[in-house]
Order: sequence, then structure tokens, then C-alpha cells
Amino acid sequence: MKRISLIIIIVMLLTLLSGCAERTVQLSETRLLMDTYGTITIHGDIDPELLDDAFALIEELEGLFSMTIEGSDVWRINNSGGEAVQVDARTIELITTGLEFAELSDGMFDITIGRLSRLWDFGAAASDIASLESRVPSVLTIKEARETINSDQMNVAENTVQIVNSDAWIDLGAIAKGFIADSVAELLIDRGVSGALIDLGGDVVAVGYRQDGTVWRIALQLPFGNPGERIGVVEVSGVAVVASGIYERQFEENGIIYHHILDPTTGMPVITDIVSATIVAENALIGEGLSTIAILVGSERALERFEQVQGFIGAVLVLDSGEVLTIGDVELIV
Amino acid sequence: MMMRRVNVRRLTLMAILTAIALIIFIIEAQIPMPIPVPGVKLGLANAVTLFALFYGAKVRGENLHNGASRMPRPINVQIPYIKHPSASSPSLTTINVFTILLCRILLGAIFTGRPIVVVYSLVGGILGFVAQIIMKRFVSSKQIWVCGAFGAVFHNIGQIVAAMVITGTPAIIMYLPILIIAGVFTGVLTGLIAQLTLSRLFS
Amino acid sequence: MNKSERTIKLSNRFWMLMLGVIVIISAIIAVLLWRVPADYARIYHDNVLVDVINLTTVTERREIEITRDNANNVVVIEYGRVRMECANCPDGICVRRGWVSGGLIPIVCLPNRVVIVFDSSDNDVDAVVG
Repeated sequence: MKRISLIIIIVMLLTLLSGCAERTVQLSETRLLMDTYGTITIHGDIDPELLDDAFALIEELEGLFSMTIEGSDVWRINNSGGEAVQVDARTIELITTGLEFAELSDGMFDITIGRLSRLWDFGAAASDIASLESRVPSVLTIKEARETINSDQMNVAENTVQIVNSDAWIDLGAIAKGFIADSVAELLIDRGVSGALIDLGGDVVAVGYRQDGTVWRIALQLPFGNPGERIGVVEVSGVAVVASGIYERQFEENGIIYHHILDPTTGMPVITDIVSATIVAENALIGEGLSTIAILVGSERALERFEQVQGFIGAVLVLDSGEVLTIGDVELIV
Repeated sequence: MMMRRVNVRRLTLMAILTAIALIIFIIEAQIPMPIPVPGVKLGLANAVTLFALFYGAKVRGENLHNGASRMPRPINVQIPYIKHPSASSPSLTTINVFTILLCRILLGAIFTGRPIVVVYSLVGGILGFVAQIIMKRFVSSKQIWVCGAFGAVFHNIGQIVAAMVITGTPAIIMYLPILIIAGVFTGVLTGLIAQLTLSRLFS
Repeated sequence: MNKSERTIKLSNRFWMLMLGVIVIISAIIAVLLWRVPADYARIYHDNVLVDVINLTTVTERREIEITRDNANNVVVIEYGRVRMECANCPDGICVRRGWVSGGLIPIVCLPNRVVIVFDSSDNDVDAVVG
């Protein structure tokens, strides 16, 4: 009797242990960061701490790239009074790419837009709005801010950055999330995930496949539609999907809608024929940059130039006429 | 300069009714409802609105299909100006009643401490009121409960629509069936309250 | 002038029947809505999609905190069911709803503008951009 019980116990233990060994788990976590909700989903033979590490990385990078956090790399550059400032290698990388985007877009995309972007407050809370007379900055302040915008005044050396014009500020807000999403993807891949989905407020990086082996499905929000309404779905693996739209952050005053993508030549929201641009690219940084650039330069230039961009895969552009254009290698499933 | 003759007795009556409705509204706001659905409440303040609507009607001689006496007998009631409902008593026009409703909604929103609620209350209140004045045409003064039911139902419909628009989530419409049922029951209740009060007054 | 001629009188029975029918139809619709299986939950805050969750593939309990813009809600997710917790809403209707494991009727916290919408179709997307 004792013998049999012992055998039974051993068998049970073995089954339990074998269960522990090769379990692939799917974990998902959503946190509020950089003013939007970010969700990271991972699966594979992984360490449960990995999600915490991923979010910690996001916080660390935010601490480098934020304009408003005192002491961040960007803050120090903006407040250096024209001096060269030593910064993190990743900041150098991001800024360098930002300058490349400026060239690609003939200057429409410009990271030195900081003074101008600070004038416009698109994300103001309802309580603050009530006390403002007008959310549209005055013509004079816009002109002053506009004149500080010029990517040529940036000097990027091996580990320092300098803005020659001490009045100018850089704002990495248009591309920081993309870079951060890519960094998180790198971290997750290094740590051995089988598949992951990183969604930072609309910047999505799809690593590998879903746990059931199917591709990741990403929906494209219908511009000006109800949340959840979509124009279609793209099925992806191993790429990034990023979208920008003029409806994302905007306010209305006196019957005019002011959106958040500013034209550096006028200081006002850019007049464009694109309502939303979704880019599928090799990484989220390119995706985010191109989605903003598309809106800035308009559909014609986007159609001409994007396919030559290194890392570009495809795009879906929604025009103000309602037309939906696709460029490159992307299939929109409706 | 525009001269207007103000009927002080009517104004006083309206003020009193507004105050009553407001008090009922505030007290009711303190009582939580057992059903965990947004918008379900007794709506007792609506009884005052219904009362006011049909009071004016009675004084003017409308809605008297059931052969109720046209000349009300005097009764012992403490409230001034309602003591002897008669031709010389103040009548309340539909607009008067609407004014009472508006004042109660606005003041109620302020006094219950959450002014944002005023949007929901206004949309629901106005829609419910319109439903009630339409239904009043089809109903006798012994059937105020019908009016109340329709009023409450449309009040709830208005609130759902407001919530759908404000939150931008069309899915909220799923609450409609439950709120319609609740509206029918609470509407009948408040309608009956108004009806019984009125019939005591006029018998 | 006797205004009573302008009104139409219908019998009490008629009205009771009418209201009764309305109640019954609403009840039927309510039950139907309640019975639909809810496989997907979409959480929105201030009209912004926070997350899409497939309730049938949840393996571990998960909590999502919604704290932006004065909201203080937590969405708790377990296999096949969801509930909302709220620390700062006046009547706590959303909390009293409790666990929701079926039906298309959303969980709403109107004061904090948090809405959880349910879906049973194969709207199976992992993320939404744009």
C-alpha cells in the first residue's frame, strides 16, 4: 500500500514539474505613459519581470526625450544658451534621424519647431480652456517662434548636440514614441520572446506572430468616426504600423478647426489634402516620421517619394475627399 | 418702455411649485437606487410638473371627460391661492410649467453639486416634457398616469441619446430597453401621485 | 370656450394594453441583448481606445488602471469576465454592476467617461492605429 502511494506521488510530481518547464505564457499590460495608454503584449518562454523592464525602459527614454522634464537631454539642449551639450547616444540617434527627415521633407518636418509647438496647446484640459480667451496664439508670437525654426542651426557631433541659435528649441514629440517603441521591441527580442505587440498610443510594432500562430491584426481608425469604427485592417508580422491624423488632437474656435500638425513656414496647422496617414515600415521611427511628413507634404509628394525611402513598406492615405489611397506593399482588408 | 402686467398670484404659485419640485429632486438625489443602471431613478419631481400641467388644464376646464364638476367645491387646504381653485385662481399655461421645469433643472444641478449633470437633465427633461404635452391631448385628468409614463420614458430616451453623444459611444443604446421599462413604471407612479393630489384638490 | 372638445379620450384599458406591450417588447429585447455572448471587450476613456481584450484567451487576472484626466478607475479582467472599480465616482453604478460575462450592454462610468463596450463578432483586432 505504501509503495503504491509513493509511486502515485512521484508520478504526480513529475507531471506537475513537466507542466512548469515548457509553458509559454501570454502576458499583457497597459499603463499610462507619455499622456496616452500603452499596451505591451508578449508571449513565449519568458521571464514575467520582462514587462516591468519594458515599461522601465519606456520611462527611461521618456526621461531623455521629454521637453518638459527638467534635466532631460532635450531640456538641457533647449536651455543651454547655444552651448554644446553632452547627451545620451540614443538621443544623438534620434536627433540625427530627425534631421534626415527634415531633408527628406524639404524642411517641412523640422525638429527645431519647439518654440512654435509650445505656443499651441492642443491637449489642454477642459478646465483650463474655460479660462483662456483664445487658444490661437497671436500673429506676433507665431512669427517670432517661426523665425527660430531651422534645422541647419543644429550641430551634432559624436556625443554632443548644439543649437547655434539659443532661442530655438527642439521638440522630439513627433518621433520619440516611434523610437521608444523600437527600443522596446529590441529589448523584447533580445530577451527571447516568441512574439510581441507593442502599442504605444497608436504606434504599433508587431514582433513575430500571435500566440496561436496567426498574424497580428491592426485596425485603422476611421478619421472623425466613432472610436472603433475603422476603414480596414492590415495583417502584419515583424513590422511597425504607425498612423497620424489631423483629427487626433485639435480644437475648434470660431468655426475653424485647428489641428496639431503645424506648418513651419506659416506657423499654423498645415493645409493639406491628407486626413490620416498610416505607414507600414521596418521600424516605428520611420513609420512615425513618414506619417507626419505625409500630412505635411500632401499626397502628391508622398506618392512620389515614399517608395524610395529606406525602410518604407507601404502606406494607406485617407484624403479629405474621402478617397483612400494605398502606396507600396500593403493590403488593406475591409 | 414696455409695460407688462405681472400676475402676482400666478408668479407666486409658480415659485412655490418650483421650490417643491426642487426639494423633492434634491432629497431624491440622496437616495441610491438598487438597480445598477445609469439613469434609473424615481423622478418624483416630475409629479410636480404633471400636477402643474393638469392643474392649469383643470382651471381652464380642459380634460374633463369623466364628468368631473366644472365648479370645484372649496376645501380646506393650507396653500394659498390653491385653496379655492376657481375662475379667479391663477391658471398656469404650458409655458409657465415649462419655466418651472427649467428653473428646477438648473437649480437642481447647482444644488446637487454636479453642474455637468445639467446637460443630461435638460435633454431628458425637455424631451420628457414635450412628450407629456403631446400626450395630454389624448388623456383625461383621470389618466395622468399615462402621461407620466410617456414622459418618463422619453426623459430616459433623451438621457441615453445625450450620453451617446457626449461619450461618443453608440453602444450605450443597449441600455434603452431597461430604461424604457423603468420609465413606464416610475412614470405611472409619479403620474398617479399627481393625479391623486389633483383629484383631492378638485373634488 | 370649452377646450374639452379638443382632447381625445381613450379608455384606460387601451392605455394599459399599450404600456404593457411596450414593457413586454422592451423586456424581450433586453433579454436577447443580455444573452449574446461577449467575447471581446473594448475599453474607452474619453473616446480614446485604451485596449481591446479577447476575454476567451485571458490566462491570468489583469488590471488596467485608468487614471488620466481625474479618472480613478480600474478595469479588472479575468477569463471570460470583466468588472470595473471606481474610487471617485459619486454613485458607483459602474461598480455595482459587478462582473460582466455576457451580453452586449456596456459598463459605463459616466462621470469619468470610461466605457467598456462588448462585442461578440470576430472583430478580432489586436490594436487600433490612427
